Amino acid sequence: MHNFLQYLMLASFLACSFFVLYRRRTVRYGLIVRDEQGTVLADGRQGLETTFGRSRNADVRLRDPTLSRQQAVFRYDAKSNQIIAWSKAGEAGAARVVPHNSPRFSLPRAFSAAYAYGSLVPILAAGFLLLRMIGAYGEFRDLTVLLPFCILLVYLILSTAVRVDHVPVAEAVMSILLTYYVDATLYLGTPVEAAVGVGLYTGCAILAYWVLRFHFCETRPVLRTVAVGAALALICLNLLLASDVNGSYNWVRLGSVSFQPSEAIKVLFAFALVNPVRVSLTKWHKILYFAVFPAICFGYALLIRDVGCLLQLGVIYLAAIVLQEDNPLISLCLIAFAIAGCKLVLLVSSTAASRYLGWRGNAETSIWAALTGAGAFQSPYHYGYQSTRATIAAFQNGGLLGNGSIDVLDGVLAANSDLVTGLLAQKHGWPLLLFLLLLYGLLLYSVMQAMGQKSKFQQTLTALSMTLMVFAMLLNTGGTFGIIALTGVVNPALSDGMSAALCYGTCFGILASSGLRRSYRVNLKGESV
Amino acid sequence: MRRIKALFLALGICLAGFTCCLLGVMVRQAKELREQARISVGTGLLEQLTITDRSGTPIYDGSYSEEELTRRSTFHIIGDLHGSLPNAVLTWQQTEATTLSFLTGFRSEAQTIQLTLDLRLQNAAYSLLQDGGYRGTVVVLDYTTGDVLVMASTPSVDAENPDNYEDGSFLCKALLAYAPGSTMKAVTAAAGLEKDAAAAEAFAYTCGGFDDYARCADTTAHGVQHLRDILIHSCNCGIGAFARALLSPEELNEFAQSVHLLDADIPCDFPGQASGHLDAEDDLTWSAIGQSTDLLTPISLCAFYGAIANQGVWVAPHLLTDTEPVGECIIEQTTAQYLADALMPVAANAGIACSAFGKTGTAELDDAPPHGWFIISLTDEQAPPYTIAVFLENCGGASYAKALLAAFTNQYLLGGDVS
Repeated sequence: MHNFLQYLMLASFLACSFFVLYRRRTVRYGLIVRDEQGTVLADGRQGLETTFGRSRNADVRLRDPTLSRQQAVFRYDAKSNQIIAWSKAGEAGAARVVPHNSPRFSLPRAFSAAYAYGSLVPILAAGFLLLRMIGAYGEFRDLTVLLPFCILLVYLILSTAVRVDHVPVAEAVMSILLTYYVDATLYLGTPVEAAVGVGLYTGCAILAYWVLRFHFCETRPVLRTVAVGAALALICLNLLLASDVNGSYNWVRLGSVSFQPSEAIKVLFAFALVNPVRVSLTKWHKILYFAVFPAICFGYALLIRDVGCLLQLGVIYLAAIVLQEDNPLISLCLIAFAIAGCKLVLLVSSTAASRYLGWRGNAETSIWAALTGAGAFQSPYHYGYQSTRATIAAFQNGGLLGNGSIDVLDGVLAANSDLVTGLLAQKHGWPLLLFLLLLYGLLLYSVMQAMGQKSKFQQTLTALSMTLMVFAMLLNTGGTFGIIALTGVVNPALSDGMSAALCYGTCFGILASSGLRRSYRVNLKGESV
Repeated sequence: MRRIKALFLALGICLAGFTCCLLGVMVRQAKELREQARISVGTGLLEQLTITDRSGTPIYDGSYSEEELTRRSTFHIIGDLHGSLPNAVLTWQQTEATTLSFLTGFRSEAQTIQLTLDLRLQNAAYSLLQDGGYRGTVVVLDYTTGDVLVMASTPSVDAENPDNYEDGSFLCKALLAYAPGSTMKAVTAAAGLEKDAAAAEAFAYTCGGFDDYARCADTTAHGVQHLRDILIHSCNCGIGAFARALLSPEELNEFAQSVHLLDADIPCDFPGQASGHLDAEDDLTWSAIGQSTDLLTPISLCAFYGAIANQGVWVAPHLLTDTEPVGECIIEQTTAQYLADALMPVAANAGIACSAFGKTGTAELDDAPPHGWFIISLTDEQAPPYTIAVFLENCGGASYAKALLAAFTNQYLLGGDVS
């Protein structure tokens, strides 16, 4: 019954969120607001909706006690080439506005309704969290199991309270996914470990969001420099201190703490590849950031024999080049190199090669058959047995509503990390997998819609983060069910483990940041406050 | 922004394509793995399963017993978690007793299984076999209810250490078919008595140690014998002549079939075991003696001798206490009484410490030492209604089986505990 209610809540959340986002798809464009020095504070051409008023959260704060908290809202409608203004008092606030081309003013229909039903998103997400909290308590009968859910509720409330007009879709999706992270952690761990993991996720997300609020992050190469330095330090640490775990050297033990530096290096790699706005790179800078540094990272991934990490770094690199490189020839050459690189990996890594051959089966196996799990992965006890067991757990043992009493993955290595989707589908039913994919689809849609409001720096960084997460999710789930000939990649926000929290928590923070507008505060006379 | 939108669109297409592949996995691969799923899932179910003997002593309680003796002695009955023994209790639980629900996945029908086994006797029988270095089996049936109290077989496997085993360890000798030797003579006698009791009882034969069809052991001449004497002396020439006089090959074949000696469904709640074979067309004389191409399982012979003790009523052997006993009158009460009386001196000669009847058997083989058989049924009012069968493979003769059975019966069955 609990799983059925869970599906209902998820379906409601997804339907509501898609609807809200669809309705708000045109609520984007605003004005260009400059201060006295001519610096752009709010760039309406990038799609800001500019709010004026006495409120602290207003884009242009007018410190006039006679004005309303939300005195006026301006947005630019490209189709009609108009600046559409809305005001409680029936007139625009007194602020300098730089219109695009030759605007005409008109009063639009009231759009507050767009914000009203937007509040359903966090409400439904909170309802889902409460439902999962009740389910967890019913299963474990331990009050400490409520702790991670409380952290998630607080995070959701904070993200909703940041701005009145903010619809926290990314934050809600992250919170929902993390409830399953709690499930995965509790499979072999304690509620305190789950709470620490959730805290790490939300902490990294909040930190990333907070850092990206600062304007200098976009205009100066500070983040890039820090990212490169940190990545190189972690690479050295990994290569010096790592021990062999299942054929890979990507675990470092410091005292009682073990972590995977490669997880943090993935997100640092993304930061390093994004060009700040209005900063021209010299030729040597380009070679350093787009050739030398990536080569070091790829070589590192090969040395530690982590093919999953290598693939993820490769995809981030390709995306960064395609998004930022204006020369199509260079882009095509790099794509071709990446495809050739996949073959190179199979030549270099015997483990990857044997696994690929096992996945592919014999020469007559069609690609569709291989993608849907043909080949040698047919035995629950021999080579490929992890994928077979996970498939059995999800699609046979899980049923439609989950099997809470029988565990096919008991004793199977990495059941709650690499095979987490099989484990969760076993517990909650195989439709959960479809809902998880829909949640990623929702995240994709919301981020794509919100990104139009941001600078090119943040757009690129957001796109790379989204690519990293979606690719990791595909690798993890695909490897779990034998669709892809790879295991060892954790699922963002689902798999047990603290190392992934650093990477994907940061990614979630970047995604959340893309949906949240900054406020620019000027006084009535146009002076910065 | 256009490039970013294109990238996001590509990611969305990947997600959609991946969803199709996932649904493809669910339909295609999951269907192919359904049978393997039962075994894998069954392994999880087995952690919730308890198997006990008839007194409630756990044999398996979510995991194997901590005692190696128990693990080895019961291996052929309960099996292992990997389905190595297709007709064992754990394999049955994983497959037959496991149902698949579309809503909630796999469910098991039973949480506790009580066997008819007596663990104390089972361990004792296994210990005697193992200590004697024998490859063989001991079977004990309650001939009134069909309960299988003992079904021990050596060599066996330690389920906790399955990689360390001898050849043939996975085979339960109680359920395999072997040349029955002279234990077949009671069957031949019963067939003749059922056909024409008067003629059978009046039958007489003068044994000179050998004739044109057969020879007795050591060509011992037994002299003038009636059927009763033929059984007591285990006279090959006499029983061969008896079969030729009263029976046709077809009649002997049909009789063996009718008294369940050739059934594969024994125990009846774990069917699919090896079936016996008997074709008197090849050589009626030697088939009647228990050689030729005769192959019978120890448990089926045990059940037959139990039917003799049970006044002609054969009760299907079973391992689960939940199984309702199925009785069938396979021979006349008078036939049963005649055979029991005739075979009493054999058991007495073996030193059994109570009233019983039985038959030895030495199954000759071409290129190996003979097998040894001894089967008895207890008829004493103070003793439990049990039939005990001992079969020892290539042991050299019935005397070894006789000694082991006597030791087991006197020491453990009729008194004393397992040390």
